[in-house]
Amino acid sequence: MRMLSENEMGNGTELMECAFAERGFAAAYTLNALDGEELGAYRQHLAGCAICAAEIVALRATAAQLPLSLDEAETVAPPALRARLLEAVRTEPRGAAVARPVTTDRWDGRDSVAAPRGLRPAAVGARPVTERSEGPTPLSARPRRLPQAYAAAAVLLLTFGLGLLGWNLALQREVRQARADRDEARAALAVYALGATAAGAGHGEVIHLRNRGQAIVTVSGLPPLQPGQVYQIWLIPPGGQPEGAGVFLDQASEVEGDLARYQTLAITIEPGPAGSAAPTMSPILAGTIGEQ
Amino acid sequence: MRIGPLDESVAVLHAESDEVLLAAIHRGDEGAIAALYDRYGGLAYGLAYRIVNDRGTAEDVVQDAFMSVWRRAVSFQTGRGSVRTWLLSIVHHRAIDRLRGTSGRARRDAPLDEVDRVVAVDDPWAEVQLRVQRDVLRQSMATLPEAQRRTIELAYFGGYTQHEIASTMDVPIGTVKGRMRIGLQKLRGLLAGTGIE
Repeated sequence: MRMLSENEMGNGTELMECAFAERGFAAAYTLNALDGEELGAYRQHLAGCAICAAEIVALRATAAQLPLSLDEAETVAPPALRARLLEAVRTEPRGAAVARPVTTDRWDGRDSVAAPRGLRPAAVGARPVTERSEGPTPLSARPRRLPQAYAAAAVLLLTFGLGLLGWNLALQREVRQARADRDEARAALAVYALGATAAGAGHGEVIHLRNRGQAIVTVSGLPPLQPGQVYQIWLIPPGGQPEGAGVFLDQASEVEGDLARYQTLAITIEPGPAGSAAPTMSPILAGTIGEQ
Repeated sequence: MRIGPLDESVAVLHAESDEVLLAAIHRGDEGAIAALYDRYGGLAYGLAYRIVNDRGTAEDVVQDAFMSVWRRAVSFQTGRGSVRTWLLSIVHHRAIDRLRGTSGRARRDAPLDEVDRVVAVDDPWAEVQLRVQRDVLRQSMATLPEAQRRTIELAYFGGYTQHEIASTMDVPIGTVKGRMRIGLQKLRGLLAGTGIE
């Protein structure tokens, strides 16, 4: 272990190095690949090296992700083993003094670096889609003359009935426009697929209009809503909890906000009219959004 | 001994974080160790079996690892990494020990045993997150230089020692260790910010 002098560093900060770590001993140890005389020598070194201890903590966390590369068919836990484990646990209640031989488990007490927790992003302010179904200006605000009252009422009814359709048309126009612009403005737009989960049905698409900080979610084939229910969109940041991003009734919705912070978009069915603060059921549709 | 109530409490615990489960395990909550098994038993068994290539041995390794968590929950400090890392590190270490303890190396080209299908864990949110994590990890692995990726795979999944890898890849021991370090650090950088850890 040697300390770099200040003039070597340049910024006045002390940086400690460890020759063992630099030569990959910590990495090999983490992978349980160190053997022979080097293993014994390194164990002795570990007893007094905080640098190696910290590197092992960090690399161990990385190595522990490698099992994710196994096929899903391989990573199925045997049910008989679960029963066997619970039986063993019952015959060895916590707190019982059990004489065990010293194990070679190397998770020792010398790890000194705490893994920083990710920051939780602020909730996305999303305008509930139900606001959009209010339709046109209320009748009372419209100036009208008696002869035209019926005509006006008829127009109003027709317009109100078309309100939702109008909104849908506007949305569809946007979708078409967005698609038409796709080749010219690839950087401004990204499209992600939503697939049905085991408990869900249907499919969908997320069109992310990056320049506008908006996304359009189109879906079809979803399980139908019961009266009083809504579909709710959830945005999930990496490693975080689902955050509500709006509710909708039809086949399309808009989400506003900085989607770049999120990794997954999922849809559930929630009680209306405003949905829930947290999902009350498993997702019916989900997909990965953001850069892959 | 609880049967029905245990199943109910396990179902509730499925939604809790790893840290909450660990605290419950420390208090002697059997449902919590069951929930932890439901959550990570698959990964643990898959890893163990990949290394030892024997069903019974793999089950022993996984049982040992979870029993270790059961006994030592009190000594685990969250500042040193996640519960999953701790558990899988124990599994890996035990599996490698078993592999090297036997005479000769169990060949990995033997066909996989027929494994009983387990009903999917009742937590589709975890399923969604896991699917994303798998994709990210696989993509990250694919971007590693071939030599580094191969070195890590031989060590981690093959249980090869640094000398065996050096011999297999026909490079010096120092190169093997260097590739391990650079490869893992590169992987760590790729996974940073993706929420895996």
